[in-house]
Amino acid sequence: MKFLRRFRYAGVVLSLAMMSFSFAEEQSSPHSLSGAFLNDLRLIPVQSGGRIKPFDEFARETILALTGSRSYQSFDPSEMLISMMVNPKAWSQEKVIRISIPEVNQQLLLDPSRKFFTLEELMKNNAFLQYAEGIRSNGMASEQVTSTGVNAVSGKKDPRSEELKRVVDRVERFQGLVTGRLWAITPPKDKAQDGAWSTLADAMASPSEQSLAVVGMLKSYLEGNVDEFKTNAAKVRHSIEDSMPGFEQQKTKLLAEVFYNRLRPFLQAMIFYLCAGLMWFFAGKHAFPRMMAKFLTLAAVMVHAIGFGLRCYVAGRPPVTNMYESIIWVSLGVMLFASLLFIKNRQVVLMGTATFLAGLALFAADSAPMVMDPTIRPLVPVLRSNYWLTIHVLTITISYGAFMLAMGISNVCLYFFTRAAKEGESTQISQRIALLNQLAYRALMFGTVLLAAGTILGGVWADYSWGRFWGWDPKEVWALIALLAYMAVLHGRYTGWVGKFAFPLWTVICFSTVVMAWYGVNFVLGVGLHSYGFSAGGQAFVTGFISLQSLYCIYVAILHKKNRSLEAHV
Amino acid sequence: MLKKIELLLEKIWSILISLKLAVLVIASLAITLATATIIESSYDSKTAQYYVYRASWFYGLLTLLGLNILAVALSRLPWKKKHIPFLMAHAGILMILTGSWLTYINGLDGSLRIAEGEVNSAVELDQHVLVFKRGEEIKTTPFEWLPEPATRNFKPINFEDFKVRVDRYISDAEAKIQFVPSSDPTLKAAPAVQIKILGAPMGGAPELWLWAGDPGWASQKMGLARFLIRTESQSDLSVNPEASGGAPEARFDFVVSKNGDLRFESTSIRGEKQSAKINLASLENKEEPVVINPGWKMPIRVQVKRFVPSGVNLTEYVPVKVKPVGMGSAIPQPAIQISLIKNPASKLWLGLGDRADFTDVDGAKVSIGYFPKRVILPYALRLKQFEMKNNPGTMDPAAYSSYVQVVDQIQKSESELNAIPTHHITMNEPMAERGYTFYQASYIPEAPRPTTTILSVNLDPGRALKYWGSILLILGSISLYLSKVFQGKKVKEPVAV
Repeated sequence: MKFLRRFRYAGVVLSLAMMSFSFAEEQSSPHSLSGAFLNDLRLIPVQSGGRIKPFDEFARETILALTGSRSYQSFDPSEMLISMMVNPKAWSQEKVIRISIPEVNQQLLLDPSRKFFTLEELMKNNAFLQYAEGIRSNGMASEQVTSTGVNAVSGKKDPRSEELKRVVDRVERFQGLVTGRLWAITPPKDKAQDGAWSTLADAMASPSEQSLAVVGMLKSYLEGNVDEFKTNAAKVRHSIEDSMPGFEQQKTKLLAEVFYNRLRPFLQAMIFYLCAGLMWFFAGKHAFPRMMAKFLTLAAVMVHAIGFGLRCYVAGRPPVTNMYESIIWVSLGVMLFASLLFIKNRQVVLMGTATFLAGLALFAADSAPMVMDPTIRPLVPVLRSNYWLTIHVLTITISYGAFMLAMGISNVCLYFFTRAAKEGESTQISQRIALLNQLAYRALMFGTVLLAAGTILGGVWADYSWGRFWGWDPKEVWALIALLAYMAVLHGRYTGWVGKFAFPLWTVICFSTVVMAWYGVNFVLGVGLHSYGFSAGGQAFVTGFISLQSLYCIYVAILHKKNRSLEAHV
Repeated sequence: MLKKIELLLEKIWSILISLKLAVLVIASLAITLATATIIESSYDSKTAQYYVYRASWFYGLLTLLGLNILAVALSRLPWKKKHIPFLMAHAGILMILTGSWLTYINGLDGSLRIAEGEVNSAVELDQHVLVFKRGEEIKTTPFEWLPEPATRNFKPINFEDFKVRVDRYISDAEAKIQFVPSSDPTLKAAPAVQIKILGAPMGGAPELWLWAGDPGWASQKMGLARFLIRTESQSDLSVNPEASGGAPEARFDFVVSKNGDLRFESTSIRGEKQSAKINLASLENKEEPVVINPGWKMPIRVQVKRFVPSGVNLTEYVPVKVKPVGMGSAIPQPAIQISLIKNPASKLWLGLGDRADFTDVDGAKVSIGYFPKRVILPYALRLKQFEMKNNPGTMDPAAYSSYVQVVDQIQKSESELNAIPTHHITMNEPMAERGYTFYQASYIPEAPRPTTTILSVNLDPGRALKYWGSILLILGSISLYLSKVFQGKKVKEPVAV
């Protein structure tokens, strides 16, 4: 089998370092030397996925691809990669390869209760090998797993075959890593057109300065010589940097990316937001907790904004491409609109709702790296270098932030209706309801203006680059549906059809059109010209959210109706 | 009577100016559109267009929205200063609707394919026609795309005295090409050969038919090689070297002699020639496959699978089993099966872009084609070069663009052509020329590199209205918002909960 042979070859390539050692014993208690000795290693420039990135990021992406989570045990990603390269044998017995759908386990006759498998297990699995050969001979590129998982009968994505492809991709990555095919180390001497770097595997045939340095570094890692490893890593780093054309422009970007990775700004912002949310809700009128809440909110927004800025800087563009990036932007939008409203109405409930929403959104973005890919990728051609497009996407998605805030406020408003139903309608509660109605209305106004503007800007951009203003593409249609839905509510409010209770209720219901435009078109419908944003996963989470929300609405509506009829009797 | 009409008009007016109608129309539009996207997701965009976006009732709904807005605006007469934001926003919507209507009525949205070194001025539209040709006489009749079901009763189409009937229709068809011997004198017969190309660099073993009856069928290009069939009487000039943009190409010709013998002549890129007679007896016995080595540098072999000395095109179409998804994959095209009223036995399949030749009773040559509708531009475009760049270190396309020239007459000498300025059309930089705008839309994937560009061509008389309308709508809604904020009473902060 081709697969297995290739894997053996891996051993040959790096056997100069391996000899007869086996680190299996040592691996059982992973020795992480960690800390400063990895600094140079993390900063080694690598060409991968269409851009230059630091080794740290390359390692994180590889580990995310293999394991489906951000880290494996307590390993530093960079060190783990080096360890895998010098000791493929031991690592092929580690359970690092993820299979996330139990049906795939069944198809491969593997234990369905397990999520992680060793490379060796998969390489001994005939069903898997046959499947992998099939994918290879069909010429499906492993880089484009998401775009090729198509069910042959319905033309729709079949989660099982898609996951199988991903598993094959994981195995290929593992093998690519240990054979040196994955790690591009030598920049081309002359500025060749596509500028592809040659990999460690290429360099084995004709050693380059960089490959010799890499071998030296791997050897010192194998020997466990920390000082030598440090010197060698620095040597690798500098020899690649020196041969990179235009390194000076890249230098700070690489540093910034390592900093961004280690800071994990959105995780921190999430923690701050959630703490702030709790503070706001329990602060009441007390000065000190309110102070704390304000302080925490400020800290959260700062970290959030810094992370956003860093990401823009590293990617060289605003985050416009995928779900992960848009959640970051939308939650920042929630805070922006809340702050704007806060200027006029200094309401604790406003900030409390906003921080809570932002925290939950960031939590959702952070919790599922397999569904929402956090890696920075180059843009597809259609999205590249266009001013209007950037404005269009940023405008439309930030309007989602306003709608999200309106949804949050309306939910709180509905909560007060349940209290009114239980405790009777005091002036205090009806004042609250009036206030929350007003706030939700304001937020909706922000949202509708921005959504209208963003949709039109999308038309302008489509006209500019495709030659038509409007083409009934599902993504644009759903943006329009969301706009129409909110317009119907706003006009209904104007006519008096939609009252104090119906307004928050409809605002909450209409948010599902935003969910559809934002998530559903790409993840559920999966058709249309915006295919560069298509992906799969998260259905359970989103359906769960929608059904919880509907149950809440139904519950509140029933309670409210009962209350009304009671009042009528009295 | 008059009073009654007056009452009725008043009633209609009072409905038209009601905001409740607006709410209903907006809500039903939203529901309609949601349904349309679900149709698109379960079938395809053409079906959604047919049932919703291009359906007359949908235009009716949009018109109702327009009338409602107009009526509401007029009902506010005489307008006061406070009405300005409201009027701006709603006039904006009316302008966008009117602009879209103008685009729909007078606009043009098509595509233009040009191969490197070639000139084209025929824009293909997304509408289909049947074209009848007898001598100099040409007639066309629209035959638009329809969604499934395929079994429909079509009326006979009369081209003067020549009557044709569409018997079957397939919305998304896939060709099963076959050339068979036939004794039907109304159909055009010519030598045909079916070959299989082994060892192709792109993997797989593509099979193809060559047929001497039509220039489009007689020559097929695969990568750097051209495969061709011709009779001895046809000269070698049928393919000129410029057709490939001057790039060197390997040639593999099947030559049919008068007495029905089949010979091949191959020419490599460097000009080495080979020729031999093909053993037709062993081809018929099917004892062992007839495989020819063309003697090229690439390890390509040509297997002759079938030879029909006098064959007619009886290609059949079947519904596609798998609809391709995603950008760049070929969109399946419709196909029709037609029969002549005079001779109902001769049924023929035509895929979109196909043409069938008949001999009429009086011996006149007649052809019926099923084509996308074409519009000829007042000038032509010449593709100088197509350029594609990949992301560094990957095979993902990063950008593609076309270098084109605007040519007024087709016949130009090389030096004259070089003097014409070149425009660079990229993904985000279209070219405008005499009212039409040309956009880089796509390309035809080819190895080793694509050389045929697909530009989208657009003429939009409603553009200005839509843009001004959009500006009004946005400014209007912002000022509506601001006026609400400043008018709005500040809500007193209630006691903390």
